[in-house]
Amino acid sequence: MADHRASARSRIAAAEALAARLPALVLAAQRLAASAAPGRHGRRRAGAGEQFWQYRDVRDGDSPASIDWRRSARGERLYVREREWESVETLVIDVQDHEGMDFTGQTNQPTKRDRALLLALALAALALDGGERVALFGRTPAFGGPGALDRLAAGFMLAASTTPVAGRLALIGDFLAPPEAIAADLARHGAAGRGGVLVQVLDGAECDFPYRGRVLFERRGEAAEDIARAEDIAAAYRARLAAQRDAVIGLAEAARLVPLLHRTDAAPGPALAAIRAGLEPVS
Amino acid sequence: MIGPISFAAPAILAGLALLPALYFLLRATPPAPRRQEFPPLRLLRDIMPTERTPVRMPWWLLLLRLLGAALVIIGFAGPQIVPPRLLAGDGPVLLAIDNGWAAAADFTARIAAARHLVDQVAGQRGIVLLATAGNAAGRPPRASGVLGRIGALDALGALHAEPWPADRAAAAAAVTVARRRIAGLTGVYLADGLAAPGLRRFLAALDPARIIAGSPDRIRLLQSPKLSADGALIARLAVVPQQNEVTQPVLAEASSGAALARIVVRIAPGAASGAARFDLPAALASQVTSLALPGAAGPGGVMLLDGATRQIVVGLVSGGTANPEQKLLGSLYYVRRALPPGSVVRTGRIGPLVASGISALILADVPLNPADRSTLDRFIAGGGVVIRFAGPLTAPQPDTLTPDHLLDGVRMLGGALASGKPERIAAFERGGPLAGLTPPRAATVSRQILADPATLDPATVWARLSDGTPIVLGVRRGRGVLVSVLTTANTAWSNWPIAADFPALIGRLVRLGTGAAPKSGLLRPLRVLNGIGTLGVPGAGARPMAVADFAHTTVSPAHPPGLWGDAQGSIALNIGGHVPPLAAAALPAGVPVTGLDALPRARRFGPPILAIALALLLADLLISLLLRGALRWRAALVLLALLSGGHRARAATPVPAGALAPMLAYVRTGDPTIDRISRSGLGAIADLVNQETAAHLGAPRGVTPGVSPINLYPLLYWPITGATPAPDAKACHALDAFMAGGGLLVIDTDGGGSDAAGSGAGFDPGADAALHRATACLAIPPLVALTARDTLAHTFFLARSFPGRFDGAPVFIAAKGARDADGVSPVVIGSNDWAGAWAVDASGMPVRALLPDTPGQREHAAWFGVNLVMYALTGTYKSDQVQIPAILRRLGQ
Repeated sequence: MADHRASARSRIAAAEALAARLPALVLAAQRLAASAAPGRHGRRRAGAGEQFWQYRDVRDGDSPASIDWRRSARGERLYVREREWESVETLVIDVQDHEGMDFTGQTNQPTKRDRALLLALALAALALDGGERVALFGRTPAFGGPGALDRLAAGFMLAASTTPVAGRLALIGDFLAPPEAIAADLARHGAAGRGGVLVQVLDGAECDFPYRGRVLFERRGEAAEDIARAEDIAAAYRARLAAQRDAVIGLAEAARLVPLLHRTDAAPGPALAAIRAGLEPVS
Repeated sequence: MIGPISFAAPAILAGLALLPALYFLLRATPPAPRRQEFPPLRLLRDIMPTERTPVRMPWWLLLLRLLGAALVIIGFAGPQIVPPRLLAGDGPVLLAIDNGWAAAADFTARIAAARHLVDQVAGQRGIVLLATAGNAAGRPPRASGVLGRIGALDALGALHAEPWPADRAAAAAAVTVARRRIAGLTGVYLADGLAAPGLRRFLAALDPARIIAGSPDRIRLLQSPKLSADGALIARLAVVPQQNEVTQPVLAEASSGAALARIVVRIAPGAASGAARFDLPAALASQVTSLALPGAAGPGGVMLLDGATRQIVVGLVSGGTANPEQKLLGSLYYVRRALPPGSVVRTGRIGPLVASGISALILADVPLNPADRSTLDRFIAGGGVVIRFAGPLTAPQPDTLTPDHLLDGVRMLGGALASGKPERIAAFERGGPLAGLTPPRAATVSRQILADPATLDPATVWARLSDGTPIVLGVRRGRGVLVSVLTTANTAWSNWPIAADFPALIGRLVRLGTGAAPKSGLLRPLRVLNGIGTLGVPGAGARPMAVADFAHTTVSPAHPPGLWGDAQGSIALNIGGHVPPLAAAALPAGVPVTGLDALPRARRFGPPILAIALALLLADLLISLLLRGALRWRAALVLLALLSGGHRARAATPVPAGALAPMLAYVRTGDPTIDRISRSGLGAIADLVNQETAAHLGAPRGVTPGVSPINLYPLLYWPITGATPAPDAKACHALDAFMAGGGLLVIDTDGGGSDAAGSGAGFDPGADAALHRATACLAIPPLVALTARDTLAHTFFLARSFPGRFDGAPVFIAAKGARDADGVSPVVIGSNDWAGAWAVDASGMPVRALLPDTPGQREHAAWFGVNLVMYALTGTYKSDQVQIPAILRRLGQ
């Protein structure tokens, strides 16, 4: 119980820290998006931004709340206002949210979470700028138009609650979980056939394993691993990481997602461009 | 025991057996790992299932730790080198310790050696202590019973040096008694190394197995000083003749204990004594009451002075208008020649003479006005001697400053119109201060003043004519003496002044105030020296002695050194001159002799070994932190530098000190003594200003005008002595700019020539010339004498006089028209040596003696110093208040 409360408190603290960083992240994302936008994204389609799809007659089982009374009052029939709930122009972003994302190998580098959020927001800004609608998977409905970016940023603070929105997927995370777990996760996102990108964000230390000497590797909630000579296992670790990477690529391709890799010690601009390119409809 | 090395706690060495165990333990214990959060932890699972062995500790770190542990064990075991035993045999040890005056100088070392000896032998054998000098109660030396270690150490702690020689004969008797009482005594003798009567017998009785002797070369004994023909005090010092030259400083001390002068006596190799003269101004020389060797020299290093060896300053005043110094006729001609050799003679008027610090005043036929009368009353009460001669001016109306009532008129003895014949001086009264002088055979008195026989107190008659008429009256008043000689000081009324023993009379008379030596009867000890050379009350063993025995008495518990005397006066009995001549003792051959500080001591190595072990373990701590990555190399180096104390702050850019806080400055003279006095004096004034006023001054600074900037200081003190050279052009320019810029230049000399005003006269004959030389190039404004009405006299304290070390010399400031726009004088010139009065030493005691040291002189000097500072800081701000009475009066109308 106390543990639970403590973890709740630590989550609140983390959320507050994140909230404090968000405005800066939004600004950075807008700057990043502006640097990526010119020449790549000029199309603005007529009628974009409409939420309305069609009116249809009330059928049994429709809740009275779903009846559009204003429209119905103009005629004899009762109409239900149906929303455009499946649209290829909707971009659904999901950033993995677990404690491992808060890792950084060097204190002067951003954490994986910061970099993932930055990429996500920049991507959202780009999409919004292109007139598309953006949703956060499981957290917000699709937003569009001015102000949407701020609402999306605020959406990162929400717990997963809303019905997932359909659309192209942009999954950002470290994908270090066992392949089965990743596969289950992709299935949960309904990834298959939707198209999109899977961006694996890794820290430089995770990729290169620069540790030497006796090191006690630990992660919250798991048994620590006592390595006597870290330099001796670097090669083996890198092989295992490559295997993991291959597994992720395989899973992504099976789900028709474009697999991308981004290291936090690299600049975010090229990564954003690659994501942007990966999201172009495969026609 | 390994060779010469033994251990204080050998059991601890068993801990070394644990070292191999420690070796395996250390090898088995891996260094603590560094903790690293790592998200891809899953990928590390079972990555090396076979390699679980921890990293071995580096062999050198292992060695370091083992070495540290071994050193800790060895250090606590306390390795030491213990010298071989000092004394063979067993049975109690009879430790005879010389504690006479010759042992006092190194008594601490003597007791330390005795303690050391007791520590070595007392455990098994017991100690019998014997101090060879009798104690102040008159008890002869006596051996103690057999003491244990604690008892012996207690007895040693209570032992002290005595101010008389050891009594070897009585000590030999005590040894014999002890040997009879306690069998098997081994003798050890802590000798002072000086030859002494009875030493051979004592050594034969003691039969010492070992002698521990202080070097007799260290013994110093002050001898009775002499007065040179010109009155300077000549200190004499005796030593045991030795191969090297001896140089020994000697201090001349006042009764307060303040050192008035310091000289160095040099004794040539092989010589037994040496001498050196004190060149002191007369006024200071008369204040010297003892000579002393600096440091803990014991009673042999103290020479008390009595009247015979104190210089006296005599003032001579004559009445009338005739030249008193006229050959053969002048009223002072014979008296001046009758004064004891070495005395200092001053002439002048009564007031200034008394103020200049004389000890005796001779008035040859001087009628007194009331002011002089009260001055003389105070002078006598304060210890002065006034000797009045009669004469035609005072005879018609005798005043009341006489020992007894005098009749007016002159008694004529012989001559054309008188009956009778000139009378001879018949006798000096027994019991009077003149007792013992031989009555002059040929001297006759033809005229005299008469004491009133109706009221005559016989006790005031010190000498009579052959017909019984009093001719010398005298009385003690307060601490001083008033004497009337009822005839003239020249040959007008009597031929006494040309008698051969007239100087003896005058010499006896002028010394009455400084403590005349009693000439007859028994002497009692008044104040006696103790074993460390300070004066105290006599012990129970002190016995009176006859004056006749004084010269050849030897100091002893019955006759301790000190001041002896009776109501008539006192005389100093010193060790020097009253003990046998110094010579090194002949110690028996065949007995091992050790120096006081040459006793072999145990050398202990535990503490340094433990320190090394601690350093090793600290290094180990640093290295482990480094290996774990908790400490970076750079941080480790900084830490190491901090630990080794090699870190030193870098000096900041210097800011001129005067810019940060107001502070006083003095001109550096190059003479370290004067500069120290200036700095100390200004520092004392700054402290007083900080304490009494709202101003806050920093520590004073020494400056060199023209080289260092001086414009920042509010007050610049410039001490000028006869040796001060003329300042160069740059310095003059800087000083002029300083005065023009609102600074206050205080020029001061340390006294002046013999014709200068004030009590500093004669202290620095070249000062006046130096003052002219130094100020020649300066733009000094026209000057007037400072008065008590001037602003400077009441800027803070209300000062009526402006004394420094001296008093009475005028102080000059700029005349009214020549001051700056605010009416402030840019310069103050005096010759009272203000800094000399202000200066205090580290313990807050004044450094220099004052003249004439009137009550409050030092306070007034400090007040004037504060006034100077406030004058420099606030200008004429206070002068507004001068007008307050006038303003109030006008407001009232």
